[in-house]
Amino acid sequence: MSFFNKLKSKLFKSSSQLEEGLDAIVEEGGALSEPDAPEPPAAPEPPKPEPRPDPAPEPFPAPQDPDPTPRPQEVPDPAPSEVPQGPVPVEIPDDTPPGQPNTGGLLGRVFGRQSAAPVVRRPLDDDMLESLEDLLITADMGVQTAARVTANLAEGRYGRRVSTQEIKEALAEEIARIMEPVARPLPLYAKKPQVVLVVGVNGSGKTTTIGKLASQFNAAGKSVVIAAGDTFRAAAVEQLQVWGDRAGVPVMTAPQGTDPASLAYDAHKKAEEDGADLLMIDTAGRLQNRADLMEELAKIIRVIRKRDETAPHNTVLVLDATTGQNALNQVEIFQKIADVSGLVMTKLDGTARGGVLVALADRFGLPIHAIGVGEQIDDLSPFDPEEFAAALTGLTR
Amino acid sequence: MSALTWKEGDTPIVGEFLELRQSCELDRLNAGAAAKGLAGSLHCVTAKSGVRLVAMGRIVGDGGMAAMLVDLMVEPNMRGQGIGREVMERLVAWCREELPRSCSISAIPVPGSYSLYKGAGFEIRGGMAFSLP
Repeated sequence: MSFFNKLKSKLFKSSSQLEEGLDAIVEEGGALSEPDAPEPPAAPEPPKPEPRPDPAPEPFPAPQDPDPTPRPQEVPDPAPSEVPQGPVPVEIPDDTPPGQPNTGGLLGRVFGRQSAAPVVRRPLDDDMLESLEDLLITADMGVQTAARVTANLAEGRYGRRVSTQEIKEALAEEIARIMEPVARPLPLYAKKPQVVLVVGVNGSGKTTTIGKLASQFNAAGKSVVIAAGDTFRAAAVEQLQVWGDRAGVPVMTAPQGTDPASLAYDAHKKAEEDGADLLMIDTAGRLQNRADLMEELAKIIRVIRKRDETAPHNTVLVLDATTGQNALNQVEIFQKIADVSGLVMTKLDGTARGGVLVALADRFGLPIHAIGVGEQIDDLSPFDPEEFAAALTGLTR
Repeated sequence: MSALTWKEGDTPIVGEFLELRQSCELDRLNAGAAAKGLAGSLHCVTAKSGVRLVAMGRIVGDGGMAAMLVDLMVEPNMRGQGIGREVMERLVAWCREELPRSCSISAIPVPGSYSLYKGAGFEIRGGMAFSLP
């Protein structure tokens, strides 16, 4: 299963609420734009199917231009008038190429059934904006960001009659606009070894993220050394060793309870001797004892700088999406402790609504290097703002 | 019963909080109000089954003199397994640990759950409350 299929299916599951909510908001106080539109659950096959030979999309399809310009007076899909009146499929089966006219892959297929529903329009008024804002808050976007997104959404559209599809497009456009500047993979420098310090609270998926990143860099032909710097948690060290063995990446360890700074020093030495491209340093994440942690991280940085004044070249904060708005607090705390240069968001599955990523981008503007939706190595992937925005809003593309 | 994941300190995501409220047939809340309220928690305990929020409880208050135990909820099909009691115990343990000695902890249990509160040390006192329309 490709990464985006996973992202879509997982975000779809969790954000279906957002999508349903959008439908509900428009329907409430809205009116059908066609007097003789078919019954609500209709999901008609479009009139001119374009059979797609390969139903499996590429793992990283180039984002299409979603054409987000709202066209309020235009019926977006002529399909409803040509609905076959027989039993209509509620869900389009996976193996038949549905041939949505403007489908962008599985996403279009999954969400396709929504776009073909009769077009209900509703004036974009204060009530609707308030409902939209609430919906975005429910999706974990945070109060401030939700307010900002809603305000931007209203600009130039206020008072117009809009359909769910138009709202989704506008919302996706707005979200993608916020996310675009932060979607940047971990930058690679010519510096050898490039030191990447990985920080985050325990349980955020820090160790797994290091394992996955190391595997991916290794597969891309970069040589990596890992320093298992969370020397207080034996489990973290073992976990890294498993990842290291699997990826063929050397993992430097030290006995439990020893000084992680000296391990980092040794690891840097080894990385330099081996001519490694990257040195990834795992760190402890015991936030409850912040003073200790701060001292520990400061010491690692101090010691590493004895070997390379420019290190660490990246300080990556790993965040667990299921902690919701608390992720924002964690960024603030770690920005004080360490000079965070970028984020990795893990566990963007399950109940995580994904909106917290928008809040993070809006509030901090830190690069989001990767997002993770599962336990497999390729479940960690670069962040694509447009795909994300479309998945979050349930936009048909 | 599948193993639950307990978490202390993190408030739930607004969406999952509202879903749990809904499954417990509590009144609908405005999402903005819920977000503000959750962010103002002194402490929060959550239990998840897999990725689903199935139980929670919060402590709100001034952190010194008065605190209130609120939003103690267990998803209906998970009740009768002592989950509510564990939420309660964890919340009260946190209060004992973190709040000053003289701090008063209040709660307004729904009828039928008094024994749970009594077991945790609450006693019935007169009180009043109302909700804004």
